[in-house]
Amino acid sequence: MKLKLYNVLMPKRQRLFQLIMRTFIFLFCTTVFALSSNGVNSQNDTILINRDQSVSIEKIFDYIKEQTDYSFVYNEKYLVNTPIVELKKGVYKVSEILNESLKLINCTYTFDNNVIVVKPKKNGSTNPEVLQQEKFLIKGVIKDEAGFPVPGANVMVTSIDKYQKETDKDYIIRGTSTDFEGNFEIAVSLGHFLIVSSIGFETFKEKITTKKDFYSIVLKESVMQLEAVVISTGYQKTNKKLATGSYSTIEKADLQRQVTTNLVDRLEGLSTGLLTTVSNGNGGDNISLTLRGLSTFNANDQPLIVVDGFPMQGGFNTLNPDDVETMTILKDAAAASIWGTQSANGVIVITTKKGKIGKPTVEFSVYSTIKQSPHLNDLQIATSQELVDWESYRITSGIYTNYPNILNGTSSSYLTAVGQVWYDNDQGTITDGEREARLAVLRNTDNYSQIEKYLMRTSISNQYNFSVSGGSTTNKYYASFVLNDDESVYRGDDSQRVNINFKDDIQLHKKLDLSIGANTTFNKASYNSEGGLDLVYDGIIPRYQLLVDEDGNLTDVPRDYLASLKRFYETNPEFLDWSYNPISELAARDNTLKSMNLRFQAALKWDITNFLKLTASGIYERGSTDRRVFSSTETYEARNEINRLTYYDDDEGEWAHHIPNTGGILQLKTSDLEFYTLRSQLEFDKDIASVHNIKSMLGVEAQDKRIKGALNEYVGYNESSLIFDKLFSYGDLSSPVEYFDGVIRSANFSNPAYISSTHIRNISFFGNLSYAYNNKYIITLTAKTDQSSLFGSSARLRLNKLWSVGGSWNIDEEAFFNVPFINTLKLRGSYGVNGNIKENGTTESVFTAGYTTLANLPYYNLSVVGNPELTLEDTYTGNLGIDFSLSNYRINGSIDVYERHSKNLLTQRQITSTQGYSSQLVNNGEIINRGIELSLNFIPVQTPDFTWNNRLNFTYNKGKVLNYELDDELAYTRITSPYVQGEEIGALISYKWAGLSADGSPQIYDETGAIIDANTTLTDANATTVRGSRTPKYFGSFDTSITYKDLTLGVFLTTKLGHKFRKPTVNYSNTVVHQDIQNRWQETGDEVFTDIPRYPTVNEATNTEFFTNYNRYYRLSDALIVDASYIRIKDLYLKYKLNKNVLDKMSLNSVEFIAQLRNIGFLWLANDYDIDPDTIPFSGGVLVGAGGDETAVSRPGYKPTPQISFGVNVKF
Amino acid sequence: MKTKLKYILILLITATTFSCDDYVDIEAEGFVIPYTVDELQQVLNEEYVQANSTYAATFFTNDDFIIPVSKQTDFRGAFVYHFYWENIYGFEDHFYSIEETDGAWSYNYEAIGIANYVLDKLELIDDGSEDNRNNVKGEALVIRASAYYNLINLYSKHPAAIDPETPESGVPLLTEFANPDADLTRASIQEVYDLIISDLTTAAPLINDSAKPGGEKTFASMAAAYGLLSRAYLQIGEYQLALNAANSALALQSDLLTYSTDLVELNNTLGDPTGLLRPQYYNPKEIIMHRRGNSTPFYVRSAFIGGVFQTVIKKFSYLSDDLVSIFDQTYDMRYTKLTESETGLRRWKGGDSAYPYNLTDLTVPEVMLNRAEANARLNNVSEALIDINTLREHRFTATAPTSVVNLTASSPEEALTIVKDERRRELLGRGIRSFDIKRYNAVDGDNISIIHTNFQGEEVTLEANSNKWAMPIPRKEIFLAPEISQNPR
Repeated sequence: MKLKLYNVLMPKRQRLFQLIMRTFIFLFCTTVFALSSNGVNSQNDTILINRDQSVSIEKIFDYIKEQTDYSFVYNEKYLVNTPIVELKKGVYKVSEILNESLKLINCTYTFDNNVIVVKPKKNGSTNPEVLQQEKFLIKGVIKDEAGFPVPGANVMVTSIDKYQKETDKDYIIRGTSTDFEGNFEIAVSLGHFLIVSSIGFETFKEKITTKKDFYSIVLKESVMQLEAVVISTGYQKTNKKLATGSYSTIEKADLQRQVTTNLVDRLEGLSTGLLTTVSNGNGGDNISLTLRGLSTFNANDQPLIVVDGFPMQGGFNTLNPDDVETMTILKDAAAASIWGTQSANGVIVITTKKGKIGKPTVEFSVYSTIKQSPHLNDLQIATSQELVDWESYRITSGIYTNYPNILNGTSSSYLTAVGQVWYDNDQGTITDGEREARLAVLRNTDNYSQIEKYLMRTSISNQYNFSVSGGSTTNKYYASFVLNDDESVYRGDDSQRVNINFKDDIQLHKKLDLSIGANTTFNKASYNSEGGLDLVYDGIIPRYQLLVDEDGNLTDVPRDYLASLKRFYETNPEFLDWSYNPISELAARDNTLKSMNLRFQAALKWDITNFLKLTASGIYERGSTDRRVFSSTETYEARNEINRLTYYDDDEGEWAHHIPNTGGILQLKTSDLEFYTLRSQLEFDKDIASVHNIKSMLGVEAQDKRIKGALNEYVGYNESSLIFDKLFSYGDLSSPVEYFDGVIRSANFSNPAYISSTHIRNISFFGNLSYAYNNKYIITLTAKTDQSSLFGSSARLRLNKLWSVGGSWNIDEEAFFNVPFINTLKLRGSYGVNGNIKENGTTESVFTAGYTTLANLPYYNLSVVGNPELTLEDTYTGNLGIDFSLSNYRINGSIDVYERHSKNLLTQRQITSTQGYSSQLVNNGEIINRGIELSLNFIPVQTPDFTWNNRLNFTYNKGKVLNYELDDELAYTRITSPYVQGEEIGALISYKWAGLSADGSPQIYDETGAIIDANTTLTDANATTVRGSRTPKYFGSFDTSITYKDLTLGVFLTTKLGHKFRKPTVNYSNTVVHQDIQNRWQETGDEVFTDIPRYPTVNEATNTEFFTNYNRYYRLSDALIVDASYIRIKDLYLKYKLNKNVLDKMSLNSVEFIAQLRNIGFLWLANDYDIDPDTIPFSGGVLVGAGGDETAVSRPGYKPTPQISFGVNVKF
Repeated sequence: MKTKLKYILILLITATTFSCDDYVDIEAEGFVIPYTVDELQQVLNEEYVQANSTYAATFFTNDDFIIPVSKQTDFRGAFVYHFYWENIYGFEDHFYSIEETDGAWSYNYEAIGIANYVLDKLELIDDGSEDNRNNVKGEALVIRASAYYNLINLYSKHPAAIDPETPESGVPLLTEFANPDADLTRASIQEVYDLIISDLTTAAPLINDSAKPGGEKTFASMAAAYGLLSRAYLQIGEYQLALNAANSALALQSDLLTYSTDLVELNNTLGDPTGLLRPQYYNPKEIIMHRRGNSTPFYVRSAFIGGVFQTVIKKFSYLSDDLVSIFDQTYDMRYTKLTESETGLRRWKGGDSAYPYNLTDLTVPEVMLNRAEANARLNNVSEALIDINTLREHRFTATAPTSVVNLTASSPEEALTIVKDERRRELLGRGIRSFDIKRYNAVDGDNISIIHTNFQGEEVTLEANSNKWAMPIPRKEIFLAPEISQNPR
């Protein structure tokens, strides 16, 4: 039978990819750094006042902030008891309105970039001594190190030699600021000090000793850290200065540096303490996050994701990454305990963008990402030569015990191409010579190029983003639209995602604000790739199996049943064509997934008094996923099911079908989520006598979450007429049925139709209190009680109380603290408890209902054995931290030291089945994580034209399992257990390798130190050894970028250090084996050079216990533990902002081009095996990835492939 | 200001005091916690659906079945888990690896756990009529007793072979569900039998057969309670009590299949006489309570030889010569219809091709044989032979001469021998023979030992009354509960 290849796809994209790579490198190396721009400083911006009103000066600042990009720096004390300003409706210049209003409070202001610095006007001095001095006028010009004038710098004359703090302001005699050219003019007296300061520069000081009348001053660049960094806990916003907890904030700019379609992809390396782990090379949803070490065994281990105050249910995919304004990561108890039972793994709080007053701002961007096709060589599978030899050996030696049964007809299992050659030879249809010739052909055949060509591709994904924002004082809006068009590197897997987001803030009344928001995500995906490389892993497509023969015809790839058996039945008209080919299968499949997620949010804020605010808010989220798997009779999947469920009906004397042979099999799976939260909270914020600040919040919240799912299956479905034969339900084919070969088997064809439903409710009371004295000493208290519908019916256990205390000390606020190079210094500490919950934990035994046609009985099946003692998990976290800014804010950083002690962790205790069940959830687990986090920003160079920016995040975390119950203390159980008591999390336990014996068999040491071979099963767990942990102890990132005028060039490095992995190697129980097989022991003396065991003999391979040991002893030994450390060049990026002059001509606000190259490779890799420790390949169908656990779920294999992205962002 | 605050307080208080307990007190979905007697009945139904009685190991620890050396290679190739069978067949010290449990242990204790759950829960609820409550309690007791009977016969020696009151000679005795402080040490054989007998005697009058849906033979009926009681009494040598119990059971259910008519009829519709043993489809009237054992090596029916499809049945249930010799090979349809020849060997066709389990149902013939044995041992020779001959009449062809069908005995000893042979013929493949051999060796000194040629080609013997007649307790369970002592090997 021949199928004609009708879909010839040329690997054009591979070439395209190379071309783009070259272009990128060319651009990268040759870009001329000669593009220049004028500094943009427009004091001529206007704001709109849309009605006559009386407002405070602060409110004017708010208007300016809302409608422009300006921000303000001022001492709140200036604004105490300020007069009310009468504003007429109209358009005002910012400078004009500021001048007029600041006059009233005897202040002036300066512009610095987009920062408006408000400061008091000084007309005279309180120092009479100085007053008597003779005044004279001096002039000067202030420039930066590059020689450019510094406009708007503060020039002050003081009576003492410093002006660093607000408390020094009494010494100021007079002040001015420089003009656009950097010039100033000021009156001084001898003995005074001339002080020049400007944001972004170090302060200049000089004593006036002579009557010099012209000063040329050069200011040094500094990093100015504005103190008003706001952090959000999701429930409230607080000034970082007043915080006591451990927070990491990620700004929009950092997130937008990356070009990926998914927010989670952008998180790597952006925060200390947050470890990202990729479970396969595709990224996206396959990334898991661990904050400050694992703190649970069985409950949820991912951080809680909060968007605009509410936990997000739909996943990162329902959020447009470009809508994100900031992210705050709550790491310790003081930061996170307000989230109660959801907070033990930390909380990631996402705040999305809002509209600003002013004319509409439109932003448009397009990004394209090209991802290179995976390399099958990364899988480290043996060559065809080795595979053919090994398989031939298995057949001829008798190791393949099913082969005789295939030969004598008692087994109908399929044979691979190699097996078929031997079968044909044994059946006498080919001679020994023909057999050898055919094997020789297979030895020289490699299908990798065909798989790469027909089943994979270099993919292109595009993202189109559009947003508009603007508004008036009473209504601000933000709306965005994003379309992601993603292609997988696996052919057949594509997805499109649209996200529409809308936010509106309405001022209903001067004391009543309403915010509403709607976020909609539509997702459509097709997944027809047969799970990527699974067929290769499973040995369905051995390396020598071609998909297309030399004539261009699709081959019949052996699968399920013996080829001759399939051909025999195909002649019967009741049977369908029984051939299989992955390429035609790919074309025939029709599997789609459609999902939709809606999030509506509203908040009503009522400013009751100037210190009391009541907020009522709520969210309603709804999501649905529809998965449609249609296997038409074009697909092998359906043909195979139909054929094997065709049987000979003895009574009727004819062939009959359990499922119809016309029409396909349609499976519809739906899942619906409904979630709401209602919250009301009262906030109190008051300064008392200018030195005491008290903030408090009290609230109540109710949450309700429902998930419903259903699966239906239709057979004999005709897609065009929509006719189907019947709807499959539970019970159909659930009893064993007769197959085509007369054997009665249970039919595994059908997932029985089901309906599932979960409903969880939660109610919480929470509150916090923060007291700050003079902004120096701060104490915070947080408490939360959660009551949940979980845990069966025991009310006692539903209630859980969680709390935290924290304190901080702003040392730089102290009068005695006077260290010139330290700008800010803060000490903070906290302690408290966070909770975690497992949704199916129960105190009472619960049953699932079922019905069987077997005895026509409804029945209850014991599902979970309850434990009346069950409680929530608790994580006690202590945190000490220092925040600092040094050298005029050129260096900013923080150091945190923490200990997280997780107790009452749920473990699945293995119980002797004598009790009637074999496992039960108990709260006996315990983990302790200790760590240090360092985050550092430093800017060695900063001039208007040239900036060098560096950011370093580094985390040390060591987690130890204090209590975890193993099923039993056998050596093998210990080796394969994910956790071992008394060891580090992820400890790699191994057999002690003793080398190969003289005949090439694996040997290990037993508990007495004696050498044993596979004849003896090692049971004593003490004979194993711990060789490090697969969890990195150190991880971090380094981001360095250089900006020259409009061009930014950056490199992003990530690192994981101090961990180990188990190198995969040969497993002789599989046909697909690791490439190490070529180095196996082959003759006496080889044991000196190699550790790879020889082929087993038939007696060894058929002795189950021996063979199990034979395959385990080397594979799981300490000889294969390898250092997993690396420093990876995660990406390289180039950004170019279009020149202001060009922009003005095009009437655009900004145009930015970005090019990014990801997954470039390693700067340093500790292992010599060309293995990416994040995606360890496996061999022989058995994953030896996560710590030798042979049943690990994911199947990493190929390294993340290089990808290149281009984008343009336009604002107008 | 003051009034504002007051309103806010009122607002907050109303917001927070809508009853929180009520809010979170919702019905769990997808799960049920049984609170009514009907629901507890459904919990028991799960046990009937599973119907696990699981003493597969006994299939090869008797003198009925062998795996001929010539078939051992095929056997290995045909079964993924052949190594368990190899261990059992070779009378090895342990059958399962240290990482695995033995289904015979775990399934029986699972049934005990479920029964205990129902019994515990019944005490806590006051739902349902007295009749319904009694019936559920009775059924749970029967299930528990049945499981303990299996366990004690599998994992202990026969009480007559040792002092039955020796502590730790029985099995762990659990009578409460999920009690973390439960004593897992092995009780004495006496204590276990005491519980079995008290459970069954308590249960029998409680069970209300009329409350059950008609037709099914899966329930623990009143007849089942008495039938199991006859088994238990017979096993511990209480022959008069065994006789009484059997009488009670047979008074409730005594239908027998007549092979000469029923089997032919079944043969026509099924093409396979083993349909006799398909309770789920054909509900044979002689089954009292359906139970089934582990998957046993019966069937490999696939066949594709020489490029052509053939219906070839491969089974590995070969009869020993010893067993073949006690059959009447002409008229006994248990031989002619339920076994077949294969190149010098005789193979049992029984079991069920749809469910390749050895069926361990409690049946009317077994209870009759229990009664016959009790009568023989109580010197009631003629009563014993009435049951034997009634049974034989239903098993032989219509044309069989009466002299062949009807047996006579001149002494109780002769009657006992006749009963023993009839048990072997009738209860073939039900796992009962192994328990019988233990009893005959211990009580009667029959000195039956089993000789196998194991898969390594060595001749191995299971000596009469040897320690190995008590199966090894799965090592995994001893790892998890070291207080359970292992049987001496």
